[in-house]
Amino acid sequence: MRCLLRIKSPKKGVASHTETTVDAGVITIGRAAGEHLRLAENDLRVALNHAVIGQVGGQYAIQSLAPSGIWHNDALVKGAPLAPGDRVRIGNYLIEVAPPERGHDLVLVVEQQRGAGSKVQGPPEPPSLLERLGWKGSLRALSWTLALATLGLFFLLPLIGMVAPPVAKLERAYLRPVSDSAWNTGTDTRGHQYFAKDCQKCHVTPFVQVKDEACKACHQGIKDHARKAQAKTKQYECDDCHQEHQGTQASTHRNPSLCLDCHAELKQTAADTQILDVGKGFPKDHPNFRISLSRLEDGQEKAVRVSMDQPQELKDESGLFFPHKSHLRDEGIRKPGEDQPVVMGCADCHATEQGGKLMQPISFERHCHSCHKLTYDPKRSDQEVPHGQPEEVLALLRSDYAQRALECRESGASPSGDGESRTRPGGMGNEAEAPSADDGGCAIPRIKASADGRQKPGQTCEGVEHDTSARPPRPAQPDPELPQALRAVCAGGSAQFTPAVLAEADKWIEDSARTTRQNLLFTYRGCAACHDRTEDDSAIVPARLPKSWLPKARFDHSRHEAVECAQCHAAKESATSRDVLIKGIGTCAECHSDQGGGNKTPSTCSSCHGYHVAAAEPEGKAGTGGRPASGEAPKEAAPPAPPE
Amino acid sequence: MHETFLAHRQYLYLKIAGGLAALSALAYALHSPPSPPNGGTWLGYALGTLGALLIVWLAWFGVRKRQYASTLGSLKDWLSGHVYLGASLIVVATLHTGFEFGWNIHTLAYVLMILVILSGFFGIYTYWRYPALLTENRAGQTDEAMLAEIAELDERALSLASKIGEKAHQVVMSSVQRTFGGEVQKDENPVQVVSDTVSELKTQFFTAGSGVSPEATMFTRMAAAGEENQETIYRISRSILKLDDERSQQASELLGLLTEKKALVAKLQRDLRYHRLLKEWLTLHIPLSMMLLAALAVHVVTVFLYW
Repeated sequence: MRCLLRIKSPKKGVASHTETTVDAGVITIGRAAGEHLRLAENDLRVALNHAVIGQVGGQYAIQSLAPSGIWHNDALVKGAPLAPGDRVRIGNYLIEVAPPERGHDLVLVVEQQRGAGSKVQGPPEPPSLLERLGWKGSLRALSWTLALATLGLFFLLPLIGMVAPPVAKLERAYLRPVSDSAWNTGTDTRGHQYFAKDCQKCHVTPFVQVKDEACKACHQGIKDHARKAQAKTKQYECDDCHQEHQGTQASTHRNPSLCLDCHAELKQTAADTQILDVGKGFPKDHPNFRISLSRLEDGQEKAVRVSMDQPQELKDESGLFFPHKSHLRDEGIRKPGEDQPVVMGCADCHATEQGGKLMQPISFERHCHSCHKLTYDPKRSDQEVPHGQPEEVLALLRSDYAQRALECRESGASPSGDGESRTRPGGMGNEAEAPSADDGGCAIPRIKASADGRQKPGQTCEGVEHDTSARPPRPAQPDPELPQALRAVCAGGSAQFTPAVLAEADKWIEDSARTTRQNLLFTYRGCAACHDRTEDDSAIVPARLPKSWLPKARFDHSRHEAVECAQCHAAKESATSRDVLIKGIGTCAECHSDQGGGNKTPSTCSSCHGYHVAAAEPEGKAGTGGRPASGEAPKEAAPPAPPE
Repeated sequence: MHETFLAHRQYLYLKIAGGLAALSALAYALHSPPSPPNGGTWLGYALGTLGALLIVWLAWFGVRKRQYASTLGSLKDWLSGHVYLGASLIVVATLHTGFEFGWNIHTLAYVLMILVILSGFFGIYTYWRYPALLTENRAGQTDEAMLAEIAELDERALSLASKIGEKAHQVVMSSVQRTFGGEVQKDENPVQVVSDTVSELKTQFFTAGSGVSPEATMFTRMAAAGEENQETIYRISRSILKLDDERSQQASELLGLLTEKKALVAKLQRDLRYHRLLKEWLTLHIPLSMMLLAALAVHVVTVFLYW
């Protein structure tokens, strides 16, 4: 191997060099004497025998002999192949491989770099946070990238969706975080959630507040606040009171000031109003409740509102006689089939409707019947007349008397010849103990003898006869009550069943049925025990049990579960169903006040009153069985309905 | 006396920011909106506007500090205001939210703002702590002086090592190469390199000669004694073992030089680290701030876009 060593002069500003030709198998480089390329003694970073250059398979290569290695093209290596243009550094010597020339296989240009020996480079900077985060660019580039990414992801992408609905659909389905749901400021109302993904359902025009039309597109039946004719009041927009994106429970304007603006002195706004002024509102100036009561005028039912401050007029005319007091006695009340008196409580008859707000209506079948049987004939203790259907009562009685007539003819013997237990004869089988004298007297005067003559003598309202053993068994002879002609036929003698007998039997059946029904309906042993009769005694007045005494208020029984019934309903002291069994507004104020505080529940106007109440019904109409119009108004709207 | 930016103008900006926060909190406490508190009530809009203006002004600090010719308040005023008013945003913006949070751009903007403020607090801590550590670490020396001293130590070590022997020289040379004498390899800790060199030399000296030499005993003791007592052990051992030949003299001197270098290299490393830490908080503060500005813009626009 012929190698030319061209060694540049170390002197500053002098461009001269010396050339040496080395002809050896291996070229040695080092500080020691005898090396082919001897690097200056004063550079102690060169080992005595630092490296060798040799030929490996037709290619030149350099190999370090010192553990410190050599720098080959700016990389610290132990060995490397050499090609023209390569730069090798040992200590502060730079050795460049030049193209072969003038018969030399290898040309090495050696240069001592000035000052490099004495100067120490600074340590490398420790890796910065950016480097550790893997960011190759500058801080500024990172900042702009993040800012633009934020704009792109959370503004541009949703915006594209806003302009192009199909894109929005895709984004909402697969890329929700970068759809316009990223712009949603809060949870949507439960009732709105099924369409809430589609922001533009309500947000129709960009940069314009949601208009009422958007709400009314669905809430079509929603009523206004006041009748148009009276509406001198400010007309509010939906979103003045109803806030969306405030949680699943719709948030509604509850500040009393909104109402008191007008209702403090409503006459000034609407002179003809029947609504009372509320001054500074509940509980301070709120007028006492006005109870909705049913009245009959010329046979027509009419609702009147009576203030609780007028107790003398506060009489509930339900057409029913029902003393709570005697049913709720502490010592109980006797019930048929029970040895011990049964102590009744409110819940035996009163249960809330589904949802828990109002009470379910009282029904005879569910609440009265277990004690108050509608039997009418001791011979047929299992036979009861239907409740509340006078025509059917007549039909039933007819068939009953017809059967008696037939039984007589066919067998002449008792069809029920029996000794079976029977209810008290005559009148209805009212087995429950009647009100005793100390309940305000035997409120129902008893009729001792009824038209059919089967009244047991001595029956009083104090006692109920249960003993059946003393009763004579039914005679095997023809029914003595049957018409004479029929009895003759029944007796099986020579008498024949002629059309005349048949006509007489028919007449007997019809007369008996009608008489019995009349007795049932209009004696105090019958229907009239509980029901009012018309003044001419021709019919029973339909019962008009109030569904709600305060139909315009929103009251929820389920939210008052912790309160004893008696706290609001003085039923135990009530001897007549004419009593209005709720206490006045003062009782409410014991626990509620407008602002809350002092252990009181905050109750603003809208806690009890509805807003969307525009007079669908004229003022004053209320009702038996009517639901409070106020509270229900929004629910009549087409779905989706906002919860109150 | 030197006045820090925190105490600038007798805490004027602390008072302003504190007043602002207190005022916001008072308004929030007295405010009883018809709906639950949120950014859409009149107070919500007011706090939001105030917060947005504050954020834009705080971000403008990045521009102002580059405007060396600006006379719009001194930079120290700006910095003091930047710190305190930035901190007051925690109150103003939190009340603006009405404590309503969700997975949306609005809460993202809020979270980014909190992160920016926290990184700013980290910056304040940085400026309070690291300059003092830096000064203490340097002990009056500049980094150039430290580098020059290392260079000198390198040279003396190489010279000594070459006198001791080629093997020792090669070890030291490699060490110099891998610390600051040559280009340093990034994944190597220079302190560790020097430390390794010292151990390697000790091993070399320990095995030098045949069997256990008196020197070896000495170095074993030294190694066992730990760095701080090595000098003492060395002196005592030398006098007991009567080791005063030239070679062991040189060996101990070389080890001393390398130990000295190690301390210096560690010091330089610390110096660099403190310098880096002084800047590092900005790596969080600046990109987060830019992201916050973008998120804030989206927040403001979209709130009114879907009004």
